[in-house]
Amino acid sequence: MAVLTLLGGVGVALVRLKVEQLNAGRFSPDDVQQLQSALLVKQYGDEQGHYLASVPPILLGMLVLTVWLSPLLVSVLGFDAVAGEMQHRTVRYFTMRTRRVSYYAGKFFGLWLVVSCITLALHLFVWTLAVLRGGVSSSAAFGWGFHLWLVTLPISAAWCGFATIIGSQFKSPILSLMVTFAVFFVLFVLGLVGMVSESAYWLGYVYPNTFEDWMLSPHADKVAKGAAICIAWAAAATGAGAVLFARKDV
Amino acid sequence: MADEASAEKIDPPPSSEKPGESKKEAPASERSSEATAESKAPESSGDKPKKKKKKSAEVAVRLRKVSKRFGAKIAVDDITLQIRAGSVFGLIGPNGAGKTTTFSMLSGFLRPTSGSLEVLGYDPQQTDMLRSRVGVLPQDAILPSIEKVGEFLTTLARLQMVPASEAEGLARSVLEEVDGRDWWRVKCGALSHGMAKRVQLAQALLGNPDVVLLDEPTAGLDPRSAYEVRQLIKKRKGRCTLIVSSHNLQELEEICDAAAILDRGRLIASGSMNELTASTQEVHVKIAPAPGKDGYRSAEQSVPMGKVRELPVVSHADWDDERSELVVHFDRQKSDAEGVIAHVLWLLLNEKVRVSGVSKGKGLEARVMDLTGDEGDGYEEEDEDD
Ligand SMILES: Nc1ncnc2c1ncn2[C@@H]1O[C@H](COP(=O)(O)OP(=O)(O)OP(=O)(O)O)[C@@H](O)[C@H]1O
Ligand SMILES: [Mg+2]
Repeated sequence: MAVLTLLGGVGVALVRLKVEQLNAGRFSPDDVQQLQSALLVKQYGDEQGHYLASVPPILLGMLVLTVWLSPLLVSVLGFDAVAGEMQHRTVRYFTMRTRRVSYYAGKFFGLWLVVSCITLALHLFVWTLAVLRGGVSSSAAFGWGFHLWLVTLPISAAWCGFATIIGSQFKSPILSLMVTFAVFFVLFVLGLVGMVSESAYWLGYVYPNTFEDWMLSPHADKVAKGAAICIAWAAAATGAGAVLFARKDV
Repeated sequence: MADEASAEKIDPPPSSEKPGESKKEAPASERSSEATAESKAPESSGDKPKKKKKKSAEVAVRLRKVSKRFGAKIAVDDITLQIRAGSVFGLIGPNGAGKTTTFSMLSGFLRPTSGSLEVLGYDPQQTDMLRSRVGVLPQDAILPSIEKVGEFLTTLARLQMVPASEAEGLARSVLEEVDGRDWWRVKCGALSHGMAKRVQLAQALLGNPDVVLLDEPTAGLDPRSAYEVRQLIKKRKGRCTLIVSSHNLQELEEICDAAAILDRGRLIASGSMNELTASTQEVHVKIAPAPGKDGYRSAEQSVPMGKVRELPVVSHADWDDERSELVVHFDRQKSDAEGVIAHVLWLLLNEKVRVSGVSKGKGLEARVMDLTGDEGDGYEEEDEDD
């Protein structure tokens, strides 16, 4: 799965590079720059758009892609972390030796670590590609690249928190996967509603990807707020999940 | 079966259990009893800090009015039981009797619906206090199939807080104990049923725990492996408290000091093996066929049933054809088993009957058969959930 994701990400990056090269041939570099700026301003607003105009577009594209795919990656990697061991009672060998809460926290952090590593590997590949073929300076590639990878971390933490608590409610991994998908889809819809509706904007707060924008802000306080909300979601889900798991018959 | 040739070794039946009383009818609080295992509390476990909070040191495991429901199904029904430290204790009962559920509650996997359990003075879910002090062989917990046996055991040792430098050595030694040193690099998923069972047994013994819970440790093992597991259990006798369930009653009779019999979630008898097997007012005399004056006599023919029945100590006597045994019933008010044996043997030997064994009471198997499953095989209740 991880390999597939990697290949998928890399494929998209290659296509993107190709398009850029084509574009570079037809338009002058200044035209391209202007077009990008306009797009960014449209997407992120005036101030933030200009702030992000200096980010190599391929890196920004990579961020958007990984954040977009984050729930998918997390659910596919995490659905059987607990359910798989509950199904055949393998979990019993562990719960008699370690506190349930530690076991649960281990599952959450393990998932987050794996997801973060896969994302990093994906990003690293794209940074290198951008430097070698995209004419991006290595300081820009690695500096911005690392910054953007950091943005994915709180978001994936929230998704991992959700996936682990959902997955630990079921003894059947397939049921866990289906319910995880369903819940994530509902969160996505809520996020969409929050985005388009002025009055129900707060609904977007349950959808961790909402905070991608916040964390791309030039203002440190907004970045911190976005990260804090994501981490709070992760902590709340993991805390609640651990308490439920500790009371459960395994 | 009871040890037929060694009736004299068996202690007189204790009077705690009223003869003839149908244990099934007794209320749970009366049915429960302290298992009177002979072994002393282990001294050797003193190398671990004794963290006893309270209670007498000899009781390793205590269940108080424990019940467990799964929805409408009552899997364990109001069980009260104490198990002495250092004893080997058997949990007996037909399929669905509640043995595994009881083990699971003692291991902290399941919470009782009501009642309380204590292992070494602690709630079974207090993992911090019981880590390394309790070892469990769960009945149907599958090993993680992609892990190698060696890695798996080493990981478990590390979880038990064994220092990294010692974990592997400990894992290897415990694997050696179950005769599995060749499986160190084998993936758990590639083990046969019996091999996996032995690896599961190995993890239960990891770190020499004070209390070891073994749910059907010999089920599915070949005769030699089963024998070795029994030897392994016997070797640990007195050094730790072992609670073992098995459907092989001869095996339990051989290794256990005491036992409890469960049926449909209820405790129907418990006590030392002697109490369980010798508590009935019966004496069994095994008879061999005899070549007599007038030719060959079958065992049955050789026994003068009339004369046996006329003996003043005998209330009645039957012939058990299947076992080739004379079964003598007596009134405990008038005589004890030893007196009855003396009278009956005197008569039989005078009549030149060839006696090949004598036993007091019933064998465990016969006792369990008597006590369990009159009303079905233990599954019937599924329809009559109350
Ligand atoms: N998770 C569960 N959900 C519902 N019912 C259960 C569950 N676990 C056990 N039971 C029921 O509880 C009863 C006791 O089961 P348990 O596994 O304790 O029996 P057992 O004595 O170990 O039997 P066996 O000798 O077959 O291993 C059975 O009727 C079983 O159907
Ligand atoms: Mg069982």
